[in-house]
Amino acid sequence: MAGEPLLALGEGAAADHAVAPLRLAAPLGALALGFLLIPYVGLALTTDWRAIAPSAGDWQAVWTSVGATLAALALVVAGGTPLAWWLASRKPRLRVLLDALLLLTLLTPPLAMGLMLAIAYGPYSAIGSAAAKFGLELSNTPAAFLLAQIYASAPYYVLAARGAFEAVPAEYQEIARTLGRGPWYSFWHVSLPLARLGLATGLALAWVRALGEFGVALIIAYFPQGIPVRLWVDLQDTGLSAVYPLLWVFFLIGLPLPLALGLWARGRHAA
Amino acid sequence: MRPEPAPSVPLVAEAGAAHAALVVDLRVPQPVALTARFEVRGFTALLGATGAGKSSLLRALAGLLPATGTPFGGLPAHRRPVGYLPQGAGLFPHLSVWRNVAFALDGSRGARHAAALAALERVGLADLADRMPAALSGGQRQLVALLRALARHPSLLLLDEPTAALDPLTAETVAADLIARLRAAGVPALVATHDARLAAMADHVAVLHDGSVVQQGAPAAIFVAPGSPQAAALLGWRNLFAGRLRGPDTLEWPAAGATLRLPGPPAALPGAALSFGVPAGAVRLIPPGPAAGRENRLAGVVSACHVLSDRATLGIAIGTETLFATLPPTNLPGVGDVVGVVVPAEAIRLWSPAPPQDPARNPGRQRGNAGFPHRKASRGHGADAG
Repeated sequence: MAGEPLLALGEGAAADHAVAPLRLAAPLGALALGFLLIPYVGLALTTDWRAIAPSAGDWQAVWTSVGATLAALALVVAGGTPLAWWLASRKPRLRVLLDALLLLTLLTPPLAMGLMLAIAYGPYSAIGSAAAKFGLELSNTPAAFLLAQIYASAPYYVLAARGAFEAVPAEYQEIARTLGRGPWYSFWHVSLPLARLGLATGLALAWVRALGEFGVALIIAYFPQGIPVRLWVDLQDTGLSAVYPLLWVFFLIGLPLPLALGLWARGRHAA
Repeated sequence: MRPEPAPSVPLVAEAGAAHAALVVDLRVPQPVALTARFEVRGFTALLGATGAGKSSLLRALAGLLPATGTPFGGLPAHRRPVGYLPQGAGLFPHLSVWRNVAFALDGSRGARHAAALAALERVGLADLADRMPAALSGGQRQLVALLRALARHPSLLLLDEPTAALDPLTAETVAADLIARLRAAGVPALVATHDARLAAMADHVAVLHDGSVVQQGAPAAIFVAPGSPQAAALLGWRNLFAGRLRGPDTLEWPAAGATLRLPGPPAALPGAALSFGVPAGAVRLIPPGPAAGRENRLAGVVSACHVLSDRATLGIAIGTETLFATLPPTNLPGVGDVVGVVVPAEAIRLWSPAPPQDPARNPGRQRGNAGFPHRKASRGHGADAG
């Protein structure tokens, strides 16, 4: 039939159109990735691999960072998940105000956040002096370090988690209710698992932000030194060469959790 | 008014037994204002146009929308003895088939698994127990959702457009299968649909229009004698026109430039504007000729001709109107041919006034027939109209 070749040609042309952006995307993407990797290549090339051992102080910073970040993440998840769920289910009336508040915590520069924490929790503040009476100092202590990490990472987790909960169709919770399940059951068995991809993304973001936090910690928790502040101290005290070992350790401990979360969430998603 | 049924006590015990009626009397303020009073008997179809509020009514019955009235008035959704199947079945996408079926069950994992497998076994879906919902066909999803709802032993099942997401051929099979299973389960079901074919399979039909149930009854009665032109349109009548009474048994059809004889005097005064309808299956074709003037014989031009399996639908232009006729697909005239048609007087159904502005607001029309039945109502044409 005369119509068939024409139709085939039309489909072929359409397929070409769909593939063309992909053909362009591959080299462009490789170029962009290469650009992003330049600092890491530079680092790898200039590292003196024979003198890579971190110092005792470096290891101390590693344990401080890892321990505090894990504790901060636990608190962020415990407090941030209900907040995100509440934000996701809020009526539009309060919506703009709540969005603005959440964005405010997100856009505050880390250094400014450190200063604001010093104002709010420092020894001369109402909260700081009250906490001190119970023996809890909120500057240059592990508690202060935790505080810095929570303020730095929580907004990222809450924002991602809110988006994740919003993306869960309300229909599924309704069906759970018609199946005799109360709100708690449907939260644990429906909303939470359906939001896991976004929650995992939020958790990965929060981990990265808390682990790498420098600006907030610099002001309110110079001690105990976590990895970022220790990098700064190494640079000041010894010079660039002292930064390399700790930086490689930072990459090694920073990468696995977000990587695993991403693989887990995507794997479950695909299944 | 029927007392509130206790949870997990089926209202209908035996399939085939005379269906005990569950009286629904609900007022829903939002998002569509509804005042619905009707009965659920066995497999009941809630027939309404898109946007008429069928889904809202179902959701109100499930306790998902605020409403006042019976049944289940005031009970929170998770305490109502209902099973609710939304459009597209609404299986939890993150749970395997057996976990979906077991969702409402309590107990150990082993006991829930065994119960779900037994239920799946009964419908021949045990092989799919470990599949995810995305891997199921539309019909299988409906069935799994049904099992999930039945696990709670509901007193009433609510199904929202169960066949809307399926292609027409599958829809028919799935609907028949669904109805058979519901009858076997002995649970009364209210099925929201805009599909007259699904309504035709029901035990009872309630027609929702303009915020209230305007007519209810057995499908055989409803399809033959729709209570309003709107109900007729929902039931698949395509020949719906405006007319005017000229005498005790004469109807003027201005758009067609024709006058039709009626079988008897309708309960309306001459001069009254009326709506009228003719089942497409009642319209007969006759050879063209000097037919004009003879009673209910009209001349028209074939404007469309569609053949589907054993049935042809002809569109016949008469004046500015199109009259549809369904016929056996043999010796059909071609498009553009002049034909004669007979509109049998006894097949004409009248409704008043024309157009009925708001039959819903009249409480007296809740159950009854808003039209003016003739002394002899037409029979046997409604179900295959259109």
